[in-house]
Amino acid sequence: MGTSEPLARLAAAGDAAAFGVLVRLHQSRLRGFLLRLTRGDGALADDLAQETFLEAFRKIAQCRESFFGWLCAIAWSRFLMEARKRKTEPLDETMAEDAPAAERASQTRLDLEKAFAHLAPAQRAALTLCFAFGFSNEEAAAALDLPLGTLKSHINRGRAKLAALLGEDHA
Amino acid sequence: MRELDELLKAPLPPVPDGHFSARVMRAIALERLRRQGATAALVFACLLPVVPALPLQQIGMTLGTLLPHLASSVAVQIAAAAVILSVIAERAYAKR
Repeated sequence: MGTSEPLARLAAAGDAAAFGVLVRLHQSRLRGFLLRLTRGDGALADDLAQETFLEAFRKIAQCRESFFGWLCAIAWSRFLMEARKRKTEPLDETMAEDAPAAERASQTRLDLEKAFAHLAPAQRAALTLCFAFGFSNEEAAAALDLPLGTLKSHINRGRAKLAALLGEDHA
Repeated sequence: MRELDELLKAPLPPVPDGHFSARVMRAIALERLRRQGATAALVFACLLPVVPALPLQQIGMTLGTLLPHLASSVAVQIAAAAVILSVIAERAYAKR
């Protein structure tokens, strides 16, 4: 158990200062996660992060698992709601699957963050949780509210697409 | 894929706080205030219809005769002093 869970229990007992410590501890990773999901839109990522923390504060008594995993689950559902509202980004994988061929060819040396922008949101989320944050597949599936098989499929397809986008050196 | 996996495992670049945490805590404090206000308004709205039915005149007269007696009672004065001292001690402890 990390340092966050005892703090979450204190916060659930009404200790707002303990929640303040949790915000400071996790803001960087959560905002980084949302930055990836929003393809680098800092203002939107910060708005979603703030809404995530507000919802977490309201529902802190419901936190039964890893605090950060629970926070990511809230952030993911907030991101999905926002994406549906804005309709700026296709959420289903098939629509976002491939960048135009010409664009892809000219972008074989994209850096990782730029390459991430070409993945479907669920692929971005799954790869970030499992690789950058070290979540187990089960933890990531729970955070994204996906069946384990679907999560693994997002990871495999996302990796394959990143490898293609980044060029053969990384493949 | 191994090189790609290593790249993916690298931690995300840190995002500087830049008053973000303070802004979140301000928003939380505001929301708590709003919620407390809403609760108080609800309680007030529930009590309002009862007020005209209360025997306010009788309560006032009873308090008028009772309070001078209570104020001059040594036992009540000691109890009041104990309460005040407890509150002061509790606040001093909380500040430490």
